[in-house]
Amino acid sequence: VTTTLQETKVISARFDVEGADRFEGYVANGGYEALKKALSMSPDEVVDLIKTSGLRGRGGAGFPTGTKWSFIPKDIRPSYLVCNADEGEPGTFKDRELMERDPHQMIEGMAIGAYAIGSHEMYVFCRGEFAYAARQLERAAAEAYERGYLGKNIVGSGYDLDFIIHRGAGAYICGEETALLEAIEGRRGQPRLRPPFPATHGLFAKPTVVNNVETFACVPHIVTNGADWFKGYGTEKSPGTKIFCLSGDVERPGNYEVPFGTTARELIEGFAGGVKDGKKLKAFTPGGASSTQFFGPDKIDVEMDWEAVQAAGSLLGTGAIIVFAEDVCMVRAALRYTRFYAHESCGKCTPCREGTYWMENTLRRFEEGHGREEDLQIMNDVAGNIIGRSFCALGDFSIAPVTSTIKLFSDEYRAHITKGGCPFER
Amino acid sequence: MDTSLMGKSRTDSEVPPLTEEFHRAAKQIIARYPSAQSRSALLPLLYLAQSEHGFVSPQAMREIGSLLGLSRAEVGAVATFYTMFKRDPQGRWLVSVCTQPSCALAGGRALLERLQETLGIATGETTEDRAISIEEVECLCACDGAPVFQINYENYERMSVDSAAEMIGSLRGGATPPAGARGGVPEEFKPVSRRMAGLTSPMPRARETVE
Repeated sequence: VTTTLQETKVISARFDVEGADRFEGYVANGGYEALKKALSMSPDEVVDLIKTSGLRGRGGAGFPTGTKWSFIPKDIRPSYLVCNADEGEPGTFKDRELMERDPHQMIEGMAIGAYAIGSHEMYVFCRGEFAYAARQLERAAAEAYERGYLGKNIVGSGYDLDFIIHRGAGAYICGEETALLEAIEGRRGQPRLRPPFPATHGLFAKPTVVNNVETFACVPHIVTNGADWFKGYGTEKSPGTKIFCLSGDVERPGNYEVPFGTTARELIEGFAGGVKDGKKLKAFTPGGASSTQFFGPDKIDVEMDWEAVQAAGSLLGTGAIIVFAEDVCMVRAALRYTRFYAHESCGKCTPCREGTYWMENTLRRFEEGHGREEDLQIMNDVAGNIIGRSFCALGDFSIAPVTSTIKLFSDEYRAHITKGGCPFER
Repeated sequence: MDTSLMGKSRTDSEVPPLTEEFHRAAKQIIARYPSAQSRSALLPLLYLAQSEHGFVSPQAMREIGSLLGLSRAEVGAVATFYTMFKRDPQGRWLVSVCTQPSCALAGGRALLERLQETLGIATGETTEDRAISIEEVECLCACDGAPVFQINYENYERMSVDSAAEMIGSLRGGATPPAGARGGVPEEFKPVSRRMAGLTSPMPRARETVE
């Protein structure tokens, strides 16, 4: 690892520019030029540009954004554009920072997207607990309305566009796009059966595109600099840059924007300064709590892009790298994550609702000193009855902390049995 | 799922009817959404009711239901689903402590235990002087600032257990919290709930021209 590591700041380029979160500062630093350029193109040209750029959704699934936009039928109106700002994946904190530090960038990306799909009304579903981010968005939106970048006839283009902020109220599941749409419609945030997909039956049963904050943040840069420029970063199948969120036992936790394909080692040992207090690395998540497999130190050279992380047996997810030092109890960590899923399970389907509850209870037995050897098999059985049998991805992902830690750290579970309790300090 | 994280439900709290101001503001909120979609105003209206009573009371649920043409059950199903709608009157300062691993490893768990001890209340409860409520929450997505807690949804980050517990304890004596990690000084729970209803968000201006 070199000592001259440098981030590749594209969507975080204005994070440290004083005043860039205000309209004047944003415009002085190149803001809203992309929107003007997009409005001079045809909507189809904008969709094609995003398709050609290879931009993939940053909310976790990595679905091609331009393709998603192209699914919107042209003969059904109105259509809606929705920004998923319900960031809640444990270990992830990029969307919050994108909204807090550069709210206009997101609004501009959304406006370009709305124009591309022919929508005149766009919504942002902002996580309820993000009070400051919501204030930043409110102010930015008010500024954009005042300057004619939102509202009727935006920047003299003849195109009308409204922007509505809808706050969540505390439910991780609303990060699932159909649950999010339910929440905007004033219902419990429970996922919808698909098909039909949001592309035809989304918000208010109309064609709808839902994209993540970070995805929209990329859009103005692609419009300004072109698809080839964007593909110049990252890998062939994962083009562009990505904000990785480093947290847990590292010296310098934070958001680091780098091209896809940067190794976990560069991120953990380089940017984040290595494991805290000179300790050894025990494990890390490549994509937050919902990484399908936690990684041990043997995976530290994995290249952080969708394909490479999947080939290594996990998922890139939101790019949240949570680092655990050698003295962390992985059973306790699994318990905390599993309790998260049990609490956040929406209760709609039985495998997730009941399975997460029993996994949590069984994990707690280990921590409290009542774990038994057969509990490992029981938990794996429960996990096997959740994955593939749940209504949405929350259930599928909920098993990861359990199955990962049993696979990598079964000796720790056994140490709990032998000691009759938790042998770790933290 | 209804778990201890959500707090116990209490239905015997007497509250006055929602005010005229509530109904004036409700009209504005409903107008933010397309004309046939007034139900979209439900979450904001629950925040607005919470700003009047300090929690979402069964009576408020009924009133909101009749305003939006929904049954008490339909409103209740939504109000009880989301953790930020409280079913018990909250203190002036709601302290939300993250205990997910990134925060727990940095002292979040210790802070929660300390607060329960020094305030003499469990998570989901409120001190008798109605100054402070504490709750245990999931990842607040500010993990670079671990340990993270919020006071009325304003972030406080990288504080030691001692200094955090001392600052929170001082709220019982009538102190107001210092500025949080983003520079904002939290308002009390009721005005913050009003802010959550989004009355300060821009209203749509172009919609009437849309077919």
